[in-house]
Amino acid sequence: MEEKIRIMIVDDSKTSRKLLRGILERGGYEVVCEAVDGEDAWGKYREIRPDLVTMDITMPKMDGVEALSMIRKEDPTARVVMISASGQREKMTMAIRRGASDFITKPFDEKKVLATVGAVLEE
Amino acid sequence: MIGYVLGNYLVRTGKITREALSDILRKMEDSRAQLGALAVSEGLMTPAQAEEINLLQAERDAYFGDLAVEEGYLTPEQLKELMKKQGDPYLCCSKVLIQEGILSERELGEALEEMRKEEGLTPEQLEEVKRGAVEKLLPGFLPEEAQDYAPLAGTVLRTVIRLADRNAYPGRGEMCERFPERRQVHQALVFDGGLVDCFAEEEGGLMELAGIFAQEEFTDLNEDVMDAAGEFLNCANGLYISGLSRKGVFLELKMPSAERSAHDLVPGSLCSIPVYVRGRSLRLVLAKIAEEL
Ligand SMILES: [Mg+2]
Repeated sequence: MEEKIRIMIVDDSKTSRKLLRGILERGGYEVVCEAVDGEDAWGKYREIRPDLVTMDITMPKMDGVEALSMIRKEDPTARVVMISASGQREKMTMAIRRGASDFITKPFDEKKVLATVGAVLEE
Repeated sequence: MIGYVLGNYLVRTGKITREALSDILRKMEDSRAQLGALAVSEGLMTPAQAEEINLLQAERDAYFGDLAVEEGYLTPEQLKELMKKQGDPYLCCSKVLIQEGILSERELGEALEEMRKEEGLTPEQLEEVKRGAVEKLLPGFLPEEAQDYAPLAGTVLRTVIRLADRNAYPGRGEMCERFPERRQVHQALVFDGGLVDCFAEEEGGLMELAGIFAQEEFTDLNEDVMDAAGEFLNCANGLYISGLSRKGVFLELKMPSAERSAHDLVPGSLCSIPVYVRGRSLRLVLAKIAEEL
C-alpha cells in the first residue's frame, strides 16, 4: 500500500484545526500532528518531519511567520502553506519571501485547500 | 432579510402573532434561488466561474453579482435580468402575506410605510432593504453617536449573512455603559487608537453562529463555542480591514480574546446591536479604543 502524505496542522484555534483536518483527511492525507502555536510547531516539526505544514499566521507566543523562518532555517526544503483570514496581505508577502510555498484564506473552502496543497506537493 | 424585518415589525405592533410569523417565514424559506446557482442554470456562467466568485468573496466584502460583473463574467444587463428572475425578496414576502390572507395589499403598504418611518429609513434605503440589503438598516438602527460604526457593523452583518444564515438581520442598536455580562469574544482593530468589536451571547444566537461556522451541534456555551465565534469575528474583521487597505488605510488586527478590559476605551463609545441568527439573538458590541499616549 502506498504511504499517505503526512501533514502537520498549526493553528491556535481548535475550530480551524478541526475543519482543516476534516478537509485534508477527506482529501486522502494523513494529519500526523497538530500544533497550537509557533513554538509548539517548531518543536514538533523537528521531531516529526512532516511532508507539509499548514501554518496559521496569527497565534500567541510565536506567530506563524516566525515559526516558518525557524522551520525553513532548519530544513530549507520544508513545504509550508500559510493560513490566514483576509486582511493580512503584508504578512503573507513577508511569509512568501521567507520561503512559504503558498497561502490559503480563511474561512476554508474545501476545493481550494485541496488544490493548493496538491499543487505545493507536486512542486 | 425583509421578511424577518417586516415580520418582526408586524409582530411588535400586534398585527400578527409570533406563531403566524414563523409559519410565514417557513413558507418563504428557500423560495428564492441563489444568484450564482441561477447564473449557472441560465448558462451565463460556468460552475467554475461561479466558484471563483464564491472564493473571491472570502477576500472581498462584496455581492456575488457585483463581483461577477467586475470579473467580466456577467454584463451589468445580464445581472439586472438575473436579479429580476431571482425575484425581489420583498415581492416573495408580500405574496405570502397576501395569499395567506394576513394583510391586504393596502394594509401591507401602510405597514411598510409605518415601519419605514419608525426605523428612520429614507425611501431609498427602504428600497435597498426590500431588495435584501439588510445592512442598509444599520444607519437607521444606530444611535447618532454610533453612526461611524455602520461600515464595520455592516461588514460583520454581511459576513454573518453570507457564511452562517442568509436570513440573519439586525435589531436596533443602543449606547451602553459596559460590555454585556454573558460570554463574549473581542477583537481589536488598531490604528492610533482604533476599534474593538465583540460578539456576546444573548438568547442563543452566538451558539447558533458558532455551530454553523464550526459545523458542530453545540449544546452549551463552552470554550469551543467561543473559539469558533472568535475565528468568525476574525474573518469578518479581516474583510473589513482588507477593504480599508484598498483605500490606503491600514489597520492591524489583534488576536481575538475573551478579555473585557484589555483596552482603554473612549468613555461613552460603547454601542450594542442585537443580531438575529436563526431567529436567536446575539450582541455585536463596538467601542473605540483610546489613543495611546
Ligand atoms: Mg489564529
